[in-house]
Amino acid sequence: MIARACFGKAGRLLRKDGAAASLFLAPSLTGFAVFYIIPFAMGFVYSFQDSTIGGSFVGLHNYEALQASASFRKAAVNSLMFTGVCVPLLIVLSLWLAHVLNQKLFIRNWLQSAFVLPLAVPVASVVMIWQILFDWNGILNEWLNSFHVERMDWMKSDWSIGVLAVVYIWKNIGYNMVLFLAGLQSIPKDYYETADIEGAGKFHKWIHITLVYLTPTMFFVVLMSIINSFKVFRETYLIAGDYPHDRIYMLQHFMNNMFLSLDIQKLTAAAVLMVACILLFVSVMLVIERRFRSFMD
Amino acid sequence: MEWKLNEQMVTGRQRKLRLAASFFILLMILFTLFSNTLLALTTPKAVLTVPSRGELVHHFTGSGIVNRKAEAALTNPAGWKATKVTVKKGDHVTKGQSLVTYDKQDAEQQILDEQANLKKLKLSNEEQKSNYIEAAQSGDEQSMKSAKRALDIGAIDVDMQERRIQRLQNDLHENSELLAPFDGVVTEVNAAEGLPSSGSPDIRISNTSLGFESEFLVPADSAVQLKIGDKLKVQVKGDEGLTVEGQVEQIQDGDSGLQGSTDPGGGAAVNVPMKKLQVALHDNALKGGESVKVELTQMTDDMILVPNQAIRDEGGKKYVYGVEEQDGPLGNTFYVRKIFITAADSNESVTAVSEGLFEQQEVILESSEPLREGDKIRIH
Amino acid sequence: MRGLALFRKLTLTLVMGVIAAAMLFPIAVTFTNSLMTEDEIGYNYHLIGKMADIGAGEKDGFINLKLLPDWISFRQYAEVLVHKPKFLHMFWNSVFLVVPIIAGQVLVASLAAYAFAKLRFWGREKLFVVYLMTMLMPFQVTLVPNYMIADKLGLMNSNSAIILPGIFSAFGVFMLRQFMAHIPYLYIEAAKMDGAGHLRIFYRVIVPLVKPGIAALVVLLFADNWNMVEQPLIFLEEAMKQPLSLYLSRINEGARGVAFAASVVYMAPMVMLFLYAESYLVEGIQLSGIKG
Repeated sequence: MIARACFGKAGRLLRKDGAAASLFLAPSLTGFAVFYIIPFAMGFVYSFQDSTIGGSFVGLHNYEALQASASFRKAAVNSLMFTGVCVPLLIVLSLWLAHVLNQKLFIRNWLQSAFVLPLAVPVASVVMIWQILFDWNGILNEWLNSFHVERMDWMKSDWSIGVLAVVYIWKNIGYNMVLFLAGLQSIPKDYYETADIEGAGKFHKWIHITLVYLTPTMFFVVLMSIINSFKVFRETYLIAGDYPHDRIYMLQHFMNNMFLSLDIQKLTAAAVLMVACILLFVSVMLVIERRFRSFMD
Repeated sequence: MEWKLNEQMVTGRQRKLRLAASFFILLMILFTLFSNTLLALTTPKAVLTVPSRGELVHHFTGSGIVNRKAEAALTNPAGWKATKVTVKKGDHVTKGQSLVTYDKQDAEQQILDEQANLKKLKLSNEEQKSNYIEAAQSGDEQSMKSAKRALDIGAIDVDMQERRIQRLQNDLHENSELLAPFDGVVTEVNAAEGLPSSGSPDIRISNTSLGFESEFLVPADSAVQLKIGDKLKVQVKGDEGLTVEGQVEQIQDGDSGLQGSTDPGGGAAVNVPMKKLQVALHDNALKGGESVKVELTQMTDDMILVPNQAIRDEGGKKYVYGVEEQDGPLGNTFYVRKIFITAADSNESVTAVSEGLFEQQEVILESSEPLREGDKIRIH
Repeated sequence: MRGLALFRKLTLTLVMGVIAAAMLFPIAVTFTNSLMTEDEIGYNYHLIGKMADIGAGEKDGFINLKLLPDWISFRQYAEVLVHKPKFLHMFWNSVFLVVPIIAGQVLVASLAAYAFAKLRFWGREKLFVVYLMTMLMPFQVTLVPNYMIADKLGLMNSNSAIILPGIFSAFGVFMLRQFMAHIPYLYIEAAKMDGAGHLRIFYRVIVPLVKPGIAALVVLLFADNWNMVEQPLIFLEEAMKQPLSLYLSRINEGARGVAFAASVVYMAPMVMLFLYAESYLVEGIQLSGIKG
């Protein structure tokens, strides 16, 4: 009603509709501000203070302290490594899977469901299966033992990050695959036909048609994968607890433990650093996306 | 366009899933509402108790009646009718005081009769004497001898009769009145004016100078630790709060009596040997005749005490049901565990356990259903 | 040629089938093991987390992973559903956390997404980037201020401390904007010609068109929140208020015997929802692929 009053009968498409927008945005923005923006701003301020209540400005002191913390460096490196390696790996694998499933196969719908199903399985409910698989007395060791490979405690070795990667890929590959599959199927077939006529090679076609038209999907998939790579903390936490092996001690563990030990300064400083990295990354993503878009148009 | 196709796909699988989901939710709701009921149906409820460390106390009570220590039962041996009862129960009397006077008419009558008899005897004696003189004069040896014999017998008869009268007169003197043999208190009066004394003593009188005593029948076990000379607290029933001190004077074997009424756990009453305790009481507040009881407590060493209800028996081996708690994130589960114990001693409510249990280890006191080892239980 | 194609199809199907089987393996094992008796579970898995003391002459064994139970038994389910009232309590805790979050977020986010996708206003792109950023931030980043705000609003140890941030998370806005962005302006224009206001356009045109997107969002939100671990860990101190996810993570430590059945019950709503909305999940994305 209000919207109608504001815009009259012949609202032009491109006119500014700020009033309507503010109405539509109001509920979301209010809550968003209270629970996300303000907390982050507070955190930002805290990161430069020596105490959360009545603290005074201490400049970069907290950041220096953070820098000096071995556990922070360890956690940062691990998080970066995990996200940096597993996200591309996941994307490559799911893209491959999408390609295969995009062909004519028997029981395709069943296979697709099977791949996405892990998404629906709560972490806590399969933690035991991971234990059974990767335990010291676990199935993987039993299997390796038959090949005369020494057993090892996977979750307490450098391989633990690999275990985590397996869990992460297991859980997320399905949804990414479905996203890619949707992207692939929306590429008009005639583009490929045209390219065939022009005598383009398979690889050329893939780079110049498939990948280009998958870019919007890719954008979405990458974001989802990164979000989910942060969420792998849950699995880690559930499998390995508060203080897991060094190799899977993530930034979230660090922040959690800082919170529990009430070292708010280090926590907020770490949070600000993390957000800075995310900001950097998002900017890069946006720039790339814009470039691809303009290229496509 | 494509989403319109989707609408049509809301058949088959989705319909089945909708059904399954509704069923699932319904099931969860039902289980939520009824799980407590179902739980109550399927797992027995148990009440736990925590054994404490302490001394096992045996409590025994024995009751008795306070009596004067020295008591005389005074009876009229002749069984005469009482004419006058001069005392009542509880009267203090002094030595020699008259208590009851008796009807002595019969006795006097008898004495008169006997005196008349004596007179008769004397008269016949006179006659025999003259018979003898006659015989002596006649000189008949034979008749003189027999007259002499009759004269002698007559004299003996007269003596006897005189002694009898003498005795009757003594009796009359003694029995016509009941006198207090010592200073004391009348504890019982059975004599009634106008009636001959019945079988029971006419008057009971107790000696005030010697104090009281009481006899108690107690289980022999409880008396094991008592020695002659031990002091005991004696409670006077009725008179609230009055406790007097008593001293054990004598311990005798008594008849075995039935014990068990004090055992709340029921069970067959068992024949236990009893002891008779004689306890002297010195207290001026006592009047005699009160019901009193003694409580005997017998302490054992410091041990773990478990209520008798919790003790079970299996072919003579005693055990209790303990509880094994398994921690779980969904609440703890409790299982029944059999724990064999060595019972050192027990009284009517608790059993002292010397082996098998430790302090603060919970045991099952009672349960809604019979339990077996390994059963899951709910803790109330 | 056709034979070759068939062979290729068959092989690919086989390979994919094997991979799919591997993917389903943990789920299948969880299900089959939920039908074992507690004793069987105890016997098979007692070696988890144990290391043989070689010095004491012990020898390492292996966990005896069994796919099929010796006896099919519903003891575990009876145990979980009847003997552990706490489990059901936690189950409903989870439901009462997740359902408000989803309902709230779908409502709030679809409104905001409409503004981002179809309305022009100053600062739209920048604001959206801010949303995007917070969406990427792990929960721990705003942990402390969030804690303080929850404390100030008196939300500590109450479900609202989790539900409210959940409702306003940026994810729904981001996702629905993606879907709405692809709705041709043509539809909106046509509606405007008929004299419809924005609210009516939103309600009559946009919502029906992004239904698959909303369905996909519901699935993803459910999957995410049904799983939540960090938030209740921080905000719900009282054990009786915590959701099933936290409790299941602890069940593995102790009562292993019922863990599988508990897991199955726990994942059942999620799996059912997923299977129900799977077509939306897939088709919805395909719709978003249509360039506007």
